[in-house]
Amino acid sequence: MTNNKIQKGIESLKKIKMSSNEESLLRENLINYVDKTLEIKTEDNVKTYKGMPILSQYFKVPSFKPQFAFATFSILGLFIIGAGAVGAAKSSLPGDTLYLLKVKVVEPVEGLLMITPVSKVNFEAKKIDNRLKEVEALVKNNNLSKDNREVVEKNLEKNFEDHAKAFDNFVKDKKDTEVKNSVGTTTEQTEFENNIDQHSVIFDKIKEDIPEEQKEEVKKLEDVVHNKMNEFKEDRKDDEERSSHKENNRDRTKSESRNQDEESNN
Amino acid sequence: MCKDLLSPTSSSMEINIIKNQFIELHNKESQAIFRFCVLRVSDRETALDLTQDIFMRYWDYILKNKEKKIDSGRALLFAIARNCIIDWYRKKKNISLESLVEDSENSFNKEGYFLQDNGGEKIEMEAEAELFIKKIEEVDIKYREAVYLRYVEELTPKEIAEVLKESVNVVSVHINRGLNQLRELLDI
Repeated sequence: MTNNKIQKGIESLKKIKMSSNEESLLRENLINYVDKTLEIKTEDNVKTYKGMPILSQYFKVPSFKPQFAFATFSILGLFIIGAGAVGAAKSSLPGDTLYLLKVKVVEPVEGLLMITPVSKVNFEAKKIDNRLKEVEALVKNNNLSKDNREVVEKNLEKNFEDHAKAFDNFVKDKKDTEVKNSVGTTTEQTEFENNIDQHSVIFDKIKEDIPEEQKEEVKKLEDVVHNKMNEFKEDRKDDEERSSHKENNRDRTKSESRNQDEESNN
Repeated sequence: MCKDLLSPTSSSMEINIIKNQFIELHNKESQAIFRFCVLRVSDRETALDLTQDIFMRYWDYILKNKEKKIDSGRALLFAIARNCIIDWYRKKKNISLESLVEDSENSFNKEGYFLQDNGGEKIEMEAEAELFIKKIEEVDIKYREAVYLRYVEELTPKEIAEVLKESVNVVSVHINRGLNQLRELLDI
């Protein structure tokens, strides 16, 4: 394809070369460079090297190590079992194995998440509601034994006390922040009282078709609820009286001071 | 060549094979790359630096693109060499404002010229080679590089097409027309 002149020109061009020293030096440099990049890649060495971008170790994907497999799966298993147990405990009834977990762990932990006085009151009311629902479920399952009733009763009493405390704090908080809203306080109170009334209606209905023994247990629980509700209502009345007395005093002192001012002006 | 290079399953043996292939490519092509550079930048030291830089870039490229299949290592090497030389001219252009005008007139815009005077040490070569280079310089700029790569560096039209980012047909036409021009210039 090419004739002699071109061929000669090409041959002469090909004589432009690096010296053997230059060539070996270049090879040495390249081998060093290649080795260093391989060190960086394989050992995740964080040495800086000119012209070589290095990934931050923060972006390193952790390698899977078999010796940690047991620990990893154990922890994962515990989480899964724990989550499942909490879910199952929520629907447990007195007499069940997980009921203690529900009353002693799950509910107190949920209670810790309630920050505002309103949410605390609502949460405590919900706990009482849960206890009463548990009684209804036990009756439905024909499982309201004396032991179970005692467990529910004990918890109910404690829940009513907690609710009363939460309600006191709620009322106090309303007064402290001077956003006194009697309608708001009444709403919380009314909702709670209505809910308890609904349960007492349900109790009356379920009592009709159950054996005498269970009827007795239900009645005992009804008495507890009735007594506690009376206490609650009385406390609220006292509160209202106290606050109205204070308001009257405040009004009286205001009118007195106004009269005094008027007299001094005259 | 670099398939599965340094993947998590790559054994040290595989890595050694790839490294040896790279060293082999260097042994075969380092003189050609040096020649390619020295004819473009007209300075021996710069050409040596560029040659080293080109091989390093080649290695970095195969590390980064482990999954890509490389058809021709030579074509890739010459493509990198071409880009490196363009970068070198750009950097050189940025170094001195005074030389900016001169560079833009003489060097950068005439990328593809051989043995231009860049102020470096003159390359020693046979009279025949110098004449031949002069004649190549007179060939149309479009065809010059294709002719050089085809007849001096003995790349296939497909490889040249990869280097110049043209189709194989276009490259073949450029080679033929370039060769005809060269023949005319050499009074053949």
